[in-house]
Amino acid sequence: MFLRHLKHDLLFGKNMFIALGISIVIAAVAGLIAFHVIEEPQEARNIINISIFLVLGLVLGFVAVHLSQFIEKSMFGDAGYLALTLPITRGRLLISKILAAFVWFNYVLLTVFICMIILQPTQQYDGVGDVIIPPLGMNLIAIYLNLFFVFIFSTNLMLFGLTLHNSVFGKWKVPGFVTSILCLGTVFGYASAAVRMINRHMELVTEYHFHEFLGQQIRTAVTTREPIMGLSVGRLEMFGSHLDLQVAGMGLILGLAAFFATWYLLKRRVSLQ
Amino acid sequence: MYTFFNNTQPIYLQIISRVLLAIAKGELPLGGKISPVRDMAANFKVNPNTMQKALARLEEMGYLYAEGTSGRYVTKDVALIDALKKNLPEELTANYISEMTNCGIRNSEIVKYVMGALDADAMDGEGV
Amino acid sequence: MSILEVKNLVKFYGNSPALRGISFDVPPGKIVGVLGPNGSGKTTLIKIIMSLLSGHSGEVLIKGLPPGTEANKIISYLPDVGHLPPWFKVFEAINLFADYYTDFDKPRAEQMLTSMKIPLDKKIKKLSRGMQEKVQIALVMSRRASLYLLDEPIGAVDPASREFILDTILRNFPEDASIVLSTHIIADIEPVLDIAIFLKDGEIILNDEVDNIREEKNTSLDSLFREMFRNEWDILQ
Repeated sequence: MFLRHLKHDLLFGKNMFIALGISIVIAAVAGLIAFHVIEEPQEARNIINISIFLVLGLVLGFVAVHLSQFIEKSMFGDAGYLALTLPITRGRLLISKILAAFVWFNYVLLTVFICMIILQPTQQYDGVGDVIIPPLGMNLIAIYLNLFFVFIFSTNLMLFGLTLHNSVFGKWKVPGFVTSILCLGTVFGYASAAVRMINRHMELVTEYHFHEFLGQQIRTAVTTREPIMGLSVGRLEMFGSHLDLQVAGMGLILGLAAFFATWYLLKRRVSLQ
Repeated sequence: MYTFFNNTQPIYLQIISRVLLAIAKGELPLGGKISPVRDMAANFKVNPNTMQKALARLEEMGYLYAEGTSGRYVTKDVALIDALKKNLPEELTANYISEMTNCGIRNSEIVKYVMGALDADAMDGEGV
Repeated sequence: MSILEVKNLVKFYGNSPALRGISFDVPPGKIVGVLGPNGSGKTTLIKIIMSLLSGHSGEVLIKGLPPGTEANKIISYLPDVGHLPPWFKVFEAINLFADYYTDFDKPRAEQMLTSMKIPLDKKIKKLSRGMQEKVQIALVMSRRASLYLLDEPIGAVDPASREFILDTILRNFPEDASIVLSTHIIADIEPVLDIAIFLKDGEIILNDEVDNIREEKNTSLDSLFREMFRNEWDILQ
């Protein structure tokens, strides 16, 4: 029953996601073609480098907006009279939403990853730290982990803000709204910290290997620096510094706290208008 | 919305009258099958328990009988039905007067209406 | 066992009381009307039964269960708003109910909707308000629940549709189930009720079998209602 609920949550806006994925991949292919075709490859490379980051930010933002739309419409609008009276516990209702968001999150990252692979050949190989698109390798796992913590933190905080705004009755509506704005702001702050973490991972790379694939040069990376934290997988450093670990840990803890707070509100304080 | 029944008197009594009238007029034939309670209730737009009460009372009175689980039927007792038919004119008149009274029309007025209608030879004697 | 038991239910919105300690029982197989003007506490009562509102004192039991997930499995609820996701098509809403409720009779729902001439592949937001109501009532009455909780089932529709909706309700509820419906439109619904509960300012001022009321007071529910709520009944009839 829970799985069926999850299925319904996942399918919301599926057409949008499919369209988004296809358009991003097409844009990447266009970028690759442009790079090979135009006279000043450096120009193209700059545009591509900036774009990939912009796109990553935009699509993650898109997931956030999509999720909040979905929550508002399905749980706090008129359809909330259905969603909140279904024979499913409020906890499972909430978890189903978070899982659906997680699936969308991974889908979006996967799409961007595919674009990165497509655009690998556009990168310069004459120096370390010269490249914006992360090389393929274990370092990507570290980057994914960082983004995962961003996900935990921001998703739960956003759900908390939305639930607070919609659930508490009467005079608390204004503080609820203010809190949700604060939550949104914190999300952006945390996301930018994550971007800095990603950059630091680029600096960790000290060794590259090159491979040929379909006539293109593909670069993969390996870090060989001594791990600071003792938190490494093979030769991969999971966190670049103590600060990064703290930020990730805080994200996880605050995210969990927000989850339980949201759950409490849904169980005890919901008040549909 | 057209309501079959007058909400100021117990509805089950009104249903009983209605059914008896239908039997007397031959609309419900001897031995004819009565629809299940739910369908009757939905057709008449009344509560199923009310309908059940009316039909059970009609069974007690002998006008309907139940055959196991296959449903209710109108009695085949010809003598009983004949007695009912004899009462038909009185029954119809009583119904008519009751309806007119509910509209606030006084007895003297009712007589005037009846006479007028009969004079004009518009024989629609069923005032319901 | 009673289908619904309410004991001393009190609910405040901040400092203003919505329900002042009401108690009543609904036995199986009965159709109960909770009647009162807007603001009398009808919707508050229903929301509490559906666990859409909390912070009340007193007891509410649905076949012995408190409001919540387990109770929702045996209650079929029709709110007074359009609660189906508007972006859904009609057949998707049917599948939704089939997915979520084990007591949902899908063939019955499909048959009802086709006889209402509602195209199954049309989006719900494209249907008129009256047709949306009909879709909702068809889905709600296709569940084989123990308690049917209908909040203003005929409030939003034209008189012809009212008859249709009453017909749908009467033909489709299981024998041992009970229906609790709330309304402020008494006349159309009178003949269908077993029990009438009048709710005024959060208090029950009358709770009796309708036939008793008719015999004792020789009046229709509608007239009695107007008399008891003379200053407050809502003119939207």
